[in-house]
Amino acid sequence: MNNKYLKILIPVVAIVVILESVILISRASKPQTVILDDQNMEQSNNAVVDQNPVLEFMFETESNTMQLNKTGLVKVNMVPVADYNLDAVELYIKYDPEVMTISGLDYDRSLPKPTFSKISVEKGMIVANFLISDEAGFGVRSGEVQSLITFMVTPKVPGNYTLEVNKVALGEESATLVVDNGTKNALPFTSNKLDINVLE
Amino acid sequence: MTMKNSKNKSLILVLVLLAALAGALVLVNSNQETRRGAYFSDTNVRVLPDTVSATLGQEIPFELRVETANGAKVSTVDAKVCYGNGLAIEGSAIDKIDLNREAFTQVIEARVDQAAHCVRIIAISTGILPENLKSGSVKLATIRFKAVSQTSGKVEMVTASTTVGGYNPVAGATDTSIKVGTSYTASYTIGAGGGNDDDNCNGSRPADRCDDPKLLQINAQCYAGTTVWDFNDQLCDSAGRREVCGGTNYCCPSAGGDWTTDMTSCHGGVEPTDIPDTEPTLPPTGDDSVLNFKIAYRNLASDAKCYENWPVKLIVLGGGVTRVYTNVSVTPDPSNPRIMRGSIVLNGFTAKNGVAVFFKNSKSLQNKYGKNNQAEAYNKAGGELTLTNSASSSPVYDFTNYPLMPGDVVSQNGEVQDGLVNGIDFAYMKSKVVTHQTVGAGEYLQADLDGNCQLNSADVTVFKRTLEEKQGQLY
Repeated sequence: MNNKYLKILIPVVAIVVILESVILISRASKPQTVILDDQNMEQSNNAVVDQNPVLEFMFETESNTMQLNKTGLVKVNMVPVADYNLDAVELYIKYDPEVMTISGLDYDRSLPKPTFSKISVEKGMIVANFLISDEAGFGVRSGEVQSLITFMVTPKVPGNYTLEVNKVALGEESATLVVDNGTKNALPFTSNKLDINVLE
Repeated sequence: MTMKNSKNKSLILVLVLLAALAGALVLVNSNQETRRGAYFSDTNVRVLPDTVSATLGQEIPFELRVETANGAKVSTVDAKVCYGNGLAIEGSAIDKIDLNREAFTQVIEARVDQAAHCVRIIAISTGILPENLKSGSVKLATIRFKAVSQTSGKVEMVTASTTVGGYNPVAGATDTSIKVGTSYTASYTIGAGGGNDDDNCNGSRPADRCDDPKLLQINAQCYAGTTVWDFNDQLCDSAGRREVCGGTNYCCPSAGGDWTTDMTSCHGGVEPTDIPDTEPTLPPTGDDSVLNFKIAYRNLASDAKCYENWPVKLIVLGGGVTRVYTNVSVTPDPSNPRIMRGSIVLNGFTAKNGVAVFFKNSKSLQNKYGKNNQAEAYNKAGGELTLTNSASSSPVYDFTNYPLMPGDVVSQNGEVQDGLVNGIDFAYMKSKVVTHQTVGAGEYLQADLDGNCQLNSADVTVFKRTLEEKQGQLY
């Protein structure tokens, strides 16, 4: 009697398992469709720093040696190696908020007021974005120093520190950028670093 | 005799069926290895270099690689990378991750868990034909860590939390994400001392090498543990690729061809006025999720009549799977034509919970949405959206309180977007708005940010508002 039930039960279970396996396997092998983007392809943008630079950012300060908790003025200038008309200057300067306080960010009055400027303690970044609305752009002349911004530095910890223009690949956030009016492209630039020796 | 035959037959039948049962069970258990879509079952991940010695304060780059077998082509990677004591990712994670843009186009998530010493990176390839996707040893990205204390440790991609997806040349479709096999870790030792990152390499950073028409060598880097400058080698391996070498734009006119400064084959400098082709939404298959949504565009003019067919792109993320859908169909909401609504069957995407979506249009930045009625940036990993497989039962998500911000109209190398609003976009806008070009209702101008069918100074004003707002969010 038991054998009779077993003879029926085993084939039934086997058929169920086989059917389920077939369904599972066929579902797994069914092609899945994904629509690949055909237009908004984001291209590689390579840094324009240190590639035959045509501009140099320069830091200027009274002295590279500063006293702890004493405030010193820092200027950031730009010097082109040829004449350019600029559509935009987006300046990003890295600093370490753990060791210094930045304050009093101001811009050179020969430039239009920055569309955005901020001292970001959270990001450790001084930001000044100049967008030149004038159709012809903002003219800078070969070898002439163009002042951009000034700010105050107050060291909080003794030691040696550096301020530098943020150099990351174009297409990334916080990329320092100078845009030429003629080509609408970013101009290659270089920059010096400001080494600060903080004494007690 | 008949009785005996019948008994034998029954016995044989039972044995055959038992064998079938056992075989079926084995097949079910080994489903992943036998199905033809499982090309990524042999995928491994690796962190390079495998050993590094560095000094305190130095930047240490680690390269993340995915190694596929059987020619499997990678289009998405969701990786969890964990690192030991002595290393830190300072500042924003996205700033410290250099994506390999040869293989991937976008990082859609880069989040550091400082307490756990882990970073999650989700990178995808969009706009690349399946045959041009990378296979074999594919570099995902380089993470630039800072050496913050003297110690030693390991950097690894955690296999249990890392998935890889991509095109399967046999199945003719994209695999679902599959967990990787072996993870090859890297070890580091940090010693005392300071010094410049570039001190260990000879001389100053060399200039790009652009003389070889087959190979551009750009952006030399000095990596820890080596004295030789390492160039980023760029082969002309796919038509339409663009690179910048020595400050000059180069175009790859055909795969295997020569790099050229003639940008004709790379679509440079042409004003995009045509609306890109649209693709119909594919019919539902199986258990695919359905997303019903409403979105809005910021700063449309009161008389806007040229915004309804701006192409919309959608990325969905959930259950370890990422999918990209372009030219998503949207229509003005009957109750408010300035709100766009849509319903899309997410083919190949079956996650129902914890879903996040990313929207952008052809002239906006990308917004992430993780919850209904979201009114600001969603600054959390993953999402909280719940979907069903039916348009009628899936919720209608209202994202209109956080509208798409217009302004990402071009990039440095052409007219495609780069995910940023910056001076390059501004220069393009400036050059276009002076023309005062006007088109009819429903037509398309890339620089018409307020959708009023004319290029004018109002578009620049809209651009500046976006820049201010975006920068305010970032800094």
